[in-house]
Amino acid sequence: MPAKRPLARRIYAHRHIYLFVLPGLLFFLVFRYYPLYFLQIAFRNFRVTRPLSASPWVGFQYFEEVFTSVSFQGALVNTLVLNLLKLLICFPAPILLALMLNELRSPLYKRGVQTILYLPHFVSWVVIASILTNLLSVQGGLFNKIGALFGAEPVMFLGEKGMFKIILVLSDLWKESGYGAIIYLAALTAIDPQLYEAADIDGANRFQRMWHITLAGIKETVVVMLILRVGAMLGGSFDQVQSLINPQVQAAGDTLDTFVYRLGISQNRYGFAAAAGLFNSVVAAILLFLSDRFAKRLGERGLF
Amino acid sequence: MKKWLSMLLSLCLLLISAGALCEGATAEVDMSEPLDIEVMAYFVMDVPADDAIVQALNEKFNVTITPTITNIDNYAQTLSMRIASGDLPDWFRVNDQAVFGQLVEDNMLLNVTQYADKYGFENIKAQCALPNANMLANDGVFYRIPDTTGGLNPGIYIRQDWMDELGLEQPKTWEDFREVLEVFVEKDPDGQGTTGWTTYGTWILDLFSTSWTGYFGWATSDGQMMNMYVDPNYKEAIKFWAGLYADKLLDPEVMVNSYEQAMQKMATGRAGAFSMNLSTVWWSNNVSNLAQYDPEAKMGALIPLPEGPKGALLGRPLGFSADSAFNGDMDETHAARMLAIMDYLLSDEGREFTLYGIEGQHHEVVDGKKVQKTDVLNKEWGQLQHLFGELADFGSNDMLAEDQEVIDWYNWVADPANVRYDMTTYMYDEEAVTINAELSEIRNNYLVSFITGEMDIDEKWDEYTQAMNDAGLPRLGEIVAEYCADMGVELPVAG
Repeated sequence: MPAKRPLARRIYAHRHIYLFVLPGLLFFLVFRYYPLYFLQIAFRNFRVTRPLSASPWVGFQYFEEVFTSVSFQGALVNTLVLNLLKLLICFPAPILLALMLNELRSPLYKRGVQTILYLPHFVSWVVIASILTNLLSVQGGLFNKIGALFGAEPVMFLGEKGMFKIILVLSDLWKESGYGAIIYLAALTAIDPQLYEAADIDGANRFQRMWHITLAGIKETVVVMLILRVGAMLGGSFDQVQSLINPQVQAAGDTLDTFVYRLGISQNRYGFAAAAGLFNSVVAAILLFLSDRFAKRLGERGLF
Repeated sequence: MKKWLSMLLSLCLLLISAGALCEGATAEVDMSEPLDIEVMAYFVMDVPADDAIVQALNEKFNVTITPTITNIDNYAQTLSMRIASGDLPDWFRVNDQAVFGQLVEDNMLLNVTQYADKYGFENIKAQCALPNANMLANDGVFYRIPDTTGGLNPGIYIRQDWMDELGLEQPKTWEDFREVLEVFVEKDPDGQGTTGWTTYGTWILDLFSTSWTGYFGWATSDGQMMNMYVDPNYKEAIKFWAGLYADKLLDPEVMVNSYEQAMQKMATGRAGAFSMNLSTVWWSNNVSNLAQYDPEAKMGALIPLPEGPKGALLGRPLGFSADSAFNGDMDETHAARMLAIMDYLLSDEGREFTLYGIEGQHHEVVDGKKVQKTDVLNKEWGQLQHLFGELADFGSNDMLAEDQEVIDWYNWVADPANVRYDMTTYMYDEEAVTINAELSEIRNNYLVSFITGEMDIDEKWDEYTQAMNDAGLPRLGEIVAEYCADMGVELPVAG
């Protein structure tokens, strides 16, 4: 058995590969791991005018303030409901899109459709919110104008609590489904074309090929994406919700992110914001590990 | 003998110097060495270092000013980051009471009072002596220079051509105003399906609610602290707004609108009345927007405001905003030079310079009168005055008002009889911040529901006031009472 070369020499031998990894590694060290040190803000009375080390410890005071805040419970429930709705509606959409795009035979048409589907992802939520506000306006909004043609009473879409979450889900579906399909389209390229030929010979119809070959081929990717999605059940959507929310629908649309921004960051209550953020991260980590374990129990590979 | 004579002469000189100082002689600002000054502010436009006004100040004061400009939305957080990283700018605006309070508590700001006295900065002293400016001091010491907001107050715009066409008179009371709105909605003169009155958010309605409460913010009642938001008179104001909303006289999207959307409604015949700042810039914007839609349309303003049970009153925070503060960790030469610039900007000459700039470049003289160049206002300054004018005294631009409605409005709000101030605008207390955050959540939830009719105000008022009390309103009252006692403020009596 040949003797193992020292680590430094092995790194040097593969230095080009390590150089490729270096920026990513630095990014995670600087922007993901180093900030963990500042989690102690959640337990200290921190103010920007003093160094962290000079800020007195306050125990769980900020956690108490977060959990007893009149808006916390509503924000937590809204976050869970909104993410659950997105999981049910927005998560399968990119898979369906990828499957449909995969069935297109004309490469030119396929590329055209893909480009159109990806475009909304690159439009900021602020712009989309502005477009939606105009489209959904009571006075002169397109939807209400169409409704009026059929004799419908004007509806204040963005002021109706019952409609707000639906608007959030549908706008997210429109904006992100196309872009989300990229990862599944990439997974589809890994499927051996011979499997389709074999299925053809066996007499499988289009749906059977899709079910038994295509879906089965990307199942692992779907599971990984699902685990990540479940892990993000308490987060996401800040830009979207913050751009569209208004006082009339706050009770229905306030999420943990907007709650933290409104009551924490925007009022310089950094301890409060850090406590809420830490709670959010801990729950997200638990959900991530639980869903990973669950996937493994079902015979999938999972994340870890 | 010579020795004695020289000692005597020295003693005389010493006595003369001491005497002069006692009589108020001031130190000279040393301008000999060039200095770098970083000015951090939010502003509507970027201001480059080679800006002509900046260059003129550089030359006059032997400095190199570097403006660091952010937009208003990012400013507070950017400033906080700079402070946290130990990189406090030399000169900056403060629009956050908590940050300012902490900067003072941790001795990070320049003592403006001390320098103004020592160097005889009379214009700074005059600014600090303005009515209510004492509320910006900490234990009698100014660590910031009061920057007035002038006539920047929300008022009520109205379609004067509709009033004339429909034979309506200027409403004297809020009930009269309601009747005007009823006619607007019923007749819909432009055929656009008009809403009566539009604005953006309930905060503007709160300013007008002062006509019911008689005060804005805090008062005393039977020796107890009373907050406007739980005052039974405020409940009556909310009932009035809710009535307008229910009858579709108040824009159903009042809580959804951005100010641009509300402006757009007024400018396209979809609203008969509209509330936002009734100042020179906004007035001319709204008038020109309306003229583009219909050259025959005429904008009017409700001056005075309609009367409520307590009169025609407008509530407002104390009339200062985003005051300049200075890094306390700098040598005296540097500090004195910066304040000398500020003292100049607050002089008549400085104010005029930041309003009109340089002849030929920023203004022209027509019939002996300076006229600002429109393209400078639109493309360089983004508003009526240069950044350094806004940093010194935003209210200076009131002197540019030419439209009669704007002048009338400025005069009306300048009369103390018509305005009620929230005397706690500049209060900073950590516990109060926490309590206020919770109170504001409760208040917004209930008020929106009361106005939209989702909750019956008579049925739920006690539940609402109880929720406010449970969230710490009485404790906040104690903090406010203590603050007012410290500041020598006598609160009005509610009732």
